[in-house]
Parts: sequence; structure tokens; C-alpha cells
Amino acid sequence: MCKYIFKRLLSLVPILIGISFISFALIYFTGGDAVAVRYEAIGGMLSPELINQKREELGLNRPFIIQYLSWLSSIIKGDMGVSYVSGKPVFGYIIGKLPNTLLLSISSLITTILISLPLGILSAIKRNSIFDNIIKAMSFIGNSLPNFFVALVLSYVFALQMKLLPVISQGTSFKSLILPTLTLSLAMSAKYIRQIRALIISELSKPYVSGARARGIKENTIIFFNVLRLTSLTLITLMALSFGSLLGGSAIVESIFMWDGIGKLAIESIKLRDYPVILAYVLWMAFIYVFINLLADISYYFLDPRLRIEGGKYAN
Amino acid sequence: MRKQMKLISAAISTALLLGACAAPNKQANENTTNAETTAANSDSTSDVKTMVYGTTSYGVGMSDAGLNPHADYSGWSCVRYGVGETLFKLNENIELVPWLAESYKFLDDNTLEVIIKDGINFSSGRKLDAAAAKECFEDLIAVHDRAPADMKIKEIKADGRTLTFISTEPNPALINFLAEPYSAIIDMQVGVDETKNVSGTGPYKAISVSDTEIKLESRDDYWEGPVAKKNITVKSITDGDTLTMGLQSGELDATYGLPYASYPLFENDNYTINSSATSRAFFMQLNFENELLKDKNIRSAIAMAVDKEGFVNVLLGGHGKVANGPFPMKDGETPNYSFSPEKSKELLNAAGWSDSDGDGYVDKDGKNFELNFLTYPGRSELPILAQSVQSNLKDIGIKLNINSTENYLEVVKDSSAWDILASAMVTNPTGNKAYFFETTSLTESSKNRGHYSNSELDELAKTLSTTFDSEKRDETAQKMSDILVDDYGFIFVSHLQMSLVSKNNIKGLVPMPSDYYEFSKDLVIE
Repeated sequence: MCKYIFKRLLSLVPILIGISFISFALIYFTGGDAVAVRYEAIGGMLSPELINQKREELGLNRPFIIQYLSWLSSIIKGDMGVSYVSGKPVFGYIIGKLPNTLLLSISSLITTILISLPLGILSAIKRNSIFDNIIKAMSFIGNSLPNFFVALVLSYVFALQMKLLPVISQGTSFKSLILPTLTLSLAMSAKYIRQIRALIISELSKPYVSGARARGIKENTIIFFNVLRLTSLTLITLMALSFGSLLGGSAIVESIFMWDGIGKLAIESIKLRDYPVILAYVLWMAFIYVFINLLADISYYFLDPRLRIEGGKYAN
Repeated sequence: MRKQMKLISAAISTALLLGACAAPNKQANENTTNAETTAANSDSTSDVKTMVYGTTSYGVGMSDAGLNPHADYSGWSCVRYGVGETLFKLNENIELVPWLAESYKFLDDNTLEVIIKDGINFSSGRKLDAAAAKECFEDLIAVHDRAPADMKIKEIKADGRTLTFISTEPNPALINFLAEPYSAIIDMQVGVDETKNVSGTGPYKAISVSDTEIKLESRDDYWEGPVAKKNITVKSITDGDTLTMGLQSGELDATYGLPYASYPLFENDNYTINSSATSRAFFMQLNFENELLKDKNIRSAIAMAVDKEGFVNVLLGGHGKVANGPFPMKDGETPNYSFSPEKSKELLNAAGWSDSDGDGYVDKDGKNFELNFLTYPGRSELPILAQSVQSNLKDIGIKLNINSTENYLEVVKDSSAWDILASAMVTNPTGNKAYFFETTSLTESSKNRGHYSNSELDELAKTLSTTFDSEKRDETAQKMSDILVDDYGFIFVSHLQMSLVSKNNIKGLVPMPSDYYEFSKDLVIE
């Protein structure tokens, strides 16, 4: 097991190098001039001499490969550089936004599970009933609505009309967390309900379910202790991907609700060509995807006894 | 099963623990902000009222986070929010008037003497005198990126209230740069703290500063007179819709930067909209690398086809001012030319362009008249302008291909990729009109993207750079503006009208054309 985890973590190294190289190249060849973009964006004006001096200071006048290797060697030493825009160390900058994103991600995922699991199961059990059709229609609509639209509608209803919740986040208070969480969860739930429904229907048609029913085992017991357990492997994979995506921040939702997270930071950095922050963000995303999926793989080991009995897969 | 339950419990515990990392800051923010929101309406614990002000113009993305005037554009925040003040300020006509200065005179071309007013204290309690100002300017010159090149200061002398600037070369614009927000005078003995807070001479002092929020309180000892007791929270809000809903829901009391489409929501008795035309101009530069555009008749045909009134009154909902040149028109000033699609068509016909194949576009030698229009979406007015001009030019038979891209600075380097560039710029940021010409329209200007060149304009710029008399400077600038407009190398469409929208219990929140001053001592929360 430990060997497996070590191998997986080791595989992160070429992935991170590959991704960082591609990102660096994309930024370098298509990104534009970081200094000029920054001052143009705020309507400021610098003389060409000053622009050149600033480019020199930031090392932007050096050839691509030198810039990349210099950045890479700093990363290896644990230095992610300094933001061109804020002048703050990138590592601290990203870490500072992480708790907010983490909180929003966790609350969104938990809400998604709370909404989609019961509705997905009910929809599968009551297949083709009116209830199922309503759920299917709702999830279809939920899948079709873009996040920003849902965010605006929820703000209009709960903040403007009912005056229950704030539009502008007040730090990370519980009240402020509700609307961004709901916005993210509604779209994810719509997707999950359909997935859970399909998985449960597929499992319910398997012989072991018929066998259990023939032995007189209660339907609820079959659903919760057999079917759900077996579908959990697929669900965990899906959730791991969603969680990875959520940890990358949701730029639109964070911007609309002024939630000071990583997604908002990423969008602002891209706009201002803040290369060190963009690259750190890309590395973070790559790391988090690999890491979360590793955790998902490890969880299979505990959830699926077949893997332990077969023994070898992870043990080797 | 038990193992699985343990695993799930462990996972949830870890998640909650990680989530709780946010708790310490969270708690603090939560408490203060909730308190403020309540206080915005009425403060139950004291008589001090709080105004929550949402703005799109504060934050790291705008390079003005913090209040340190010696860093980036943070001087704008320092002056806008009434913390810092400059020796001179720009009045409602964008003319220089003394502020912290009592009087000034140029002793010779290289020496400016400024007498500082008596009886002014920093919020730290220290008295403002020439020595304190000298310390501040010396730090500015040492650390700021733009100030040394702008001010060209060789030496500063201080004696009592007399501050003397000696420049390296004749610099008539030095006095204008003393009104630039980076020249806000702060107490350098207190310095700049780690949150980028400073001690200035303005009617407010900051009690906390972050990259997204500033909390201010009114001063009791302000030199210009009593300031109504109040607290102000400035919040950075990047999304226009959030800003709109924040004001509607009552979470905000006043706003800067509302989207144009939102204004009608606040045109009622519950809100006050105070507006001012600024020198931020929306204008087009024509590309002189395009042979067609070297023809003055073609350029004038394009210029006269642009319906500036329609753009301002219909598309911007009246929240702008039609432009004639780089600077806002004075009362009674008439445009150099007027909107006339008929005349445009005549000019095109005279140049040999007509719609011979009836496809709606004029053509010559079998080729339609087609132009590439480049702009960027960063200023919401520009893509709207692009569509407006596209429609105007179609009316006279010119096909316009629009490219609105964030990456326009790369595209603009390729002269063959664009013919008209629309951009926005503050043309007169410090009352020094030479600035616009020097940056955009002289033969060697860094932002002369279309390679426009006019020897008379270049000569006048040289004259302006050595003229100290303000009337003569204005005259010369007007001549230069006329040359530029009459040459049709630049088409000035409109000037931004800045509006501050507030609840009707907020009085005295009035914008100024220079965009530097927002919170004055006269701001009152009723």
C-alpha cells in the first residue's frame, strides 16, 4: 500500500513538470506583455523606458527557456516567486485564499450529496413514476442553467426579495456561505441525480439483487447495504473529480458573491497576466487532481473487499 | 462496515478541520461586517453612522490596493478616500488650485517655490511643515516608478513653510504633478505600516486597510473645518451586477462603477445620482499604415459617419458626454465637424468609392471597402462603441470587422491586423494637457499606434513643454487639439460621465471630473 502511494506521488513529478512547461509556453507565446497589460488595464501610462526597466526587473526580457528553467529551479527550492501585481509571495497569496475555497468546496459537496443521493435513489426506485419524471425534468433544467444565471436568480430571490441572505459575502459567515454553496450544488446535484439514478437502476437489475429479494431481504436493506455500497465506488470517483474541480475555485460564483477564493484570484491573475500566480494555480490544480484521485483510489481498497481479497493490486 | 464508518467519520472530521482553518479570520470579518451592515442604517450603540461604499475601482487588480501613495496607483485610494491630500488639486474645470499649498511661484525655469498653509496636522498629530513635506517627496522620488521621470527633481529644500523644488531641467508641468495622487503628503515619521496604512492630512483616517476593504473614521481635528462624525467602509466589488444588487438590497449605501444598464433602477426618490463628465475619453485612432486611410477625405468620411450623439444618448443611456477633442468641451464650445452620413457618402464618391454591385457596400476596382476595428472588452463602453460604429459605417457602405480582445496589445503590434483602434484614456489626469499629445499623437509618442505624424503638432508640443504661463499653455493645447481633430487621424467620440449612486440619506458624495476626489469633509450621512 505504502509503495503504491509512494509510486503515485512520484508520478506527480513528471505530470507537474509537463503541465508547468505547457502552461509556461502557452502564457509566453500567447499571453502578451505582462507589464503593459497591467498598466493599460488601469488606464495608466508608463514610458517605454520604464516599461522596459520593469520587464528587465521581472526577467521578462530573457529567452523563454531561460525564464522557464529559472522559474522551475525556484519552484524546486520551494520558492513560487512573487506576484507581479500585488508584490506578495505567491505561495502565501494562494494559501491565504485556500481556506475560503476549501470551505466553499466542502459545503458544496456535502450539500450536493444531501440533495442528490436521496433524490437519485428515490428516482431509481420509483422509476418512470410522476416523481421520477419531475426529478428528471428538474435535473435536466439544472444541467442546462449556467452558474452565473443561477447565482443571479438566487440572489434576486433570497437577497433582494426576501432579504434573508446577503449578496455580498461578509467574510466567511454561515449566511454568506449559503448562496454560493447553493449555486454550485444545484448544478452538481442535477448531474449527480441522473448518475445515481442510472447506477442504482443498473445495480437493481443484477442477479444478486434478485437473489436477495428471493431470500426475503427487505428492499431498504438491499438498497442501502448492497446496492449503495457497490455504486459508491463510481460515486466516489465522480465526487473526487468534482471536489478537485471545486478546489480549483469557481471563478464566476466567487466573483458574483465576492467570495475571496482561489477561482477569483485565478481569473484576476489571468486578466492581468500575473504569470507567477497563474503558474502556481496550474500546479495547484494538477496536484489537487492527482492527490484527490489518489485518495479516491485508496478509499476503494477499504470499500471494496474484492480488492483486498485479490490482494495484490495495491499490495504490490 | 465499522471500518467504513470510521473511514467516513475520519474523512468528514478532516474536511471540517480543514474548513475550520478559515475560522479565525472569518470570525473577525464576520463580526465587523455584520456590525457595519447594521450600522449602515443606524448604529444602536452610538450616534456614529456608517456608510458602506462599494467600488469597482479599488483592489489589487486596479493596482491601487492600500493607501501608500508611493506605491503603484495607491495614491488614488489615498486621495479618493480622503486620507491624503496634495499641495494642489484639480477643480471642477480640471484647473489647478492650491490645496495644502497657500501660494507658489517659479523663481526661474528650474525652481519652484511653494508656501504650505499654516495650521495643518497629519492624523498622527504631527504638524505639516516644509520639512515633513520634503521627507515625503524624497521618499516618493526614491521609491515610486513614475514620479522621478515626471517630476525631474534634482533637489528639495525646506525652510519653515517654504518648500523649494529644483528640477534637473525646465519642467512647467511640475506643478501639475504636485496634484497627482502620488504626491499626497503623508507623515514619513509614521511611515507605511504592513497593511499599507498611512497618516495623511485628509478629513478621514484609516483604522484598517486590506486589499479588499478599507475602514475609515472621520477626524476631529481636520484643518479645513469640522467633519460630520461618521465611519466609512470601502469595499472592493469587481462584479457590476453584485454592486447593483448590493445597493438594491441595502448592503451598500453608495457605489462607484455601476453598469450603465443599472442606472434606471436607481432613478427614483430613494437614491441620488451625482454625475460629472471626466476627461476619460473614448476615441479611435486610425492606422496610417493603411494606404486608404492616408487619404484625408476617407478619414473625414469615416469621422462624419460616426453618430456620437446616438452612442452617448441611446447606447450609454445619456451617461456620457459627446467629445469634440481629447478634453471635455467647454460651455459654448461647438464641435469642429458634425454627424453627416450624406457628406460622408459624397466624400467616398469623390474618392471613387460607390456601390456598383448593389450589395450595400461601396467598392472600387472590384473590391469592397472593408476595415478592421480593434478594441478590448476591459472598458464596457468599447465593445458597444464598436457595434455602433459598425452600424454607422454600414450606412455609408463601409464594412467593419470587429475584433474585441483582451489581447489587443499583441494584435496592435501587427499594423496589417487593424485599421481603427478604439481605446479609452484619461486625457488630462493632472491638468497638464501636454500629457495626452506627448503620449498618443506626436510622431514619437509611445501610444501613437497608427503612426500619425503632423510636424505642426510636433512643433507646438515642443513649445508647450517650455511654456510656463498657464493661459498660453491652454491656448497652445487648444490649437493642438484642433489640429488633431481637423486632421481626422483621431476620432474622439465621448467622455465618460462618472456617476456616484447613493441612498438618498447620503449627501455630499459628489464626483469630480478628475476622478481623484470622492470623500470630502462635506460628506454627510443623514
